[in-house]
Amino acid sequence: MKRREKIWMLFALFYSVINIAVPFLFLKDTGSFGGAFLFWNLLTGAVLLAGVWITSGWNETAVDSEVLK
Amino acid sequence: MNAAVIIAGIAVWFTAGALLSWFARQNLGEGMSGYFLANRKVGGFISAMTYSATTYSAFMMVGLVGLTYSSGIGALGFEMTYLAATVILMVIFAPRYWAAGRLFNLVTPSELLSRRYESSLAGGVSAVLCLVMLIPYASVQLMGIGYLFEILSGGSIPFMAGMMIAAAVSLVFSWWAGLRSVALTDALQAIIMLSASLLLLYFISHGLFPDGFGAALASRPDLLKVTWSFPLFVGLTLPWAFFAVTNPQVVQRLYIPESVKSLRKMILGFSAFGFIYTILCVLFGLAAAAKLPGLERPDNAMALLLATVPMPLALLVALSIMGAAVSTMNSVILTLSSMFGRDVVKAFAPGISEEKELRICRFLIPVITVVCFFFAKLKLGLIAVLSSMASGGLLMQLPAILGVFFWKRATAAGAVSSMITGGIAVGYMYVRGMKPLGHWPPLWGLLLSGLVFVSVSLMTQRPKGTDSFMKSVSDSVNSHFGI
Repeated sequence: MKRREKIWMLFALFYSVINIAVPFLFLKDTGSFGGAFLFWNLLTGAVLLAGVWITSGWNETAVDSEVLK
Repeated sequence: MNAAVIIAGIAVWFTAGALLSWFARQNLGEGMSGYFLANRKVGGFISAMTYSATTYSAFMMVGLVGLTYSSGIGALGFEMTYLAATVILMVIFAPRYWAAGRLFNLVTPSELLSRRYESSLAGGVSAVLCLVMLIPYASVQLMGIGYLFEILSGGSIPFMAGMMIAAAVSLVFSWWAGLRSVALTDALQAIIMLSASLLLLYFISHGLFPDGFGAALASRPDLLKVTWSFPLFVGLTLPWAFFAVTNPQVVQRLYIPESVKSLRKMILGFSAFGFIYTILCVLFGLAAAAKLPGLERPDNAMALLLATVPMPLALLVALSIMGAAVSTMNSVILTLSSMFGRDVVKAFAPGISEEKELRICRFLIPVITVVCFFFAKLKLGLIAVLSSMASGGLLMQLPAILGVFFWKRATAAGAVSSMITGGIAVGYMYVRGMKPLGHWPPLWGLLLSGLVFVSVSLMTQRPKGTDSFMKSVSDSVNSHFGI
């Protein structure tokens, strides 16, 4: 496991904690779209964008021949 | 909605899918790899769509909508956690599965366990666990369709008839040309699922709630509060969070992209699809709660919501739900049949020819479909809970899967004993309705499975080829992915 993957694992750990802690501790009683709804959408969006970044380093070794497209 | 209109819609949709299947059959490859993996030559877009359609089932538009309807925004947290966890896990595991699949010519996810632990028993136990746990999961897809068409047609299409239609379509799409057919029809379903949902959102925002969602939900702020208990959240979320590595129908898809570029496209395409589709389904649940409060069966919320929209749109959305159900079900059945042939039959008869192995697998596709149908007839509990139970059982493979790539000291005995004890413990707790200290069975099962895996592994001999296996995978991952 190289450095980039280790950073990813730390990020995953951080995500796991705040994904539960923030809504269950701080947004539990917020009855509007600006509460847990917004938080979970933004946090997940951040993870997906981080996924774009981390996979951008993958080499792209294409294999020839017929492809199902 | 008129039953004849629904049947006509299904006929048009089925014809389109059948044409794709026919096209897929023209270029069907040979052997197990050709039939179950499309010769590992699937492009990025189709890979992303088949991964999305396989993952997102009728549960989304029926179960998740119902869960949001009855319990509010906690359902969004549950489903978004699944999505984020899947992307996190795919970044780590997809390159390893993809590389190992090519290195060792693997066809099924369980075969990886057999290869790494040098024990066909490890793969066999995993395959049997998947068979037992995924029958309910595939069955709830049929149940979703049965409920949906029964309500939409006002009872003219009975529960059983809806299930029979879905089972028949699933069988045709999967049996005819294996994964090539399933991948192409999945792509069609995925496009319909997303398009229909976006159209429905547009109509709901403008037609049903002209003043906007915010105003409509002003009288129901409870739905936007986190009312789920912590044990419920963990109990439902934990198995789903590891879905990407424990559910064989999605793991098998990590073998199919034709290049690293396609694999990346698959992950990113799925991420975008999942994000949009999840938000839409949750909004539909909230809309149903605002528009149709007080339903006795939350799982009927979507069907009743569709009764309030124009008929063509309702039909399109209903077909998209059927597509979601069929694409998940036929992928599960296709994967299970390959596992039974490769990991169970071949374990007992290692000398069997590949041609005969494939014949047995194809014979199993209708057999498993029929078993799912009869299981669905039982109409057990809420759809969400049933699906989660299936993933809870599959979660017991997690320690053994982690050991494949990340723990050299892991042994076959540890893998086998952890899956058996964890599987039995989770099944027992679900059947008895046990929740020790208020927590759901998957949590306890995973703790037990992990403990058994580590203890037994430390007491037994590791496979002789462990170092060689790990080095091969590591070298391949490094050369292809630069990680």
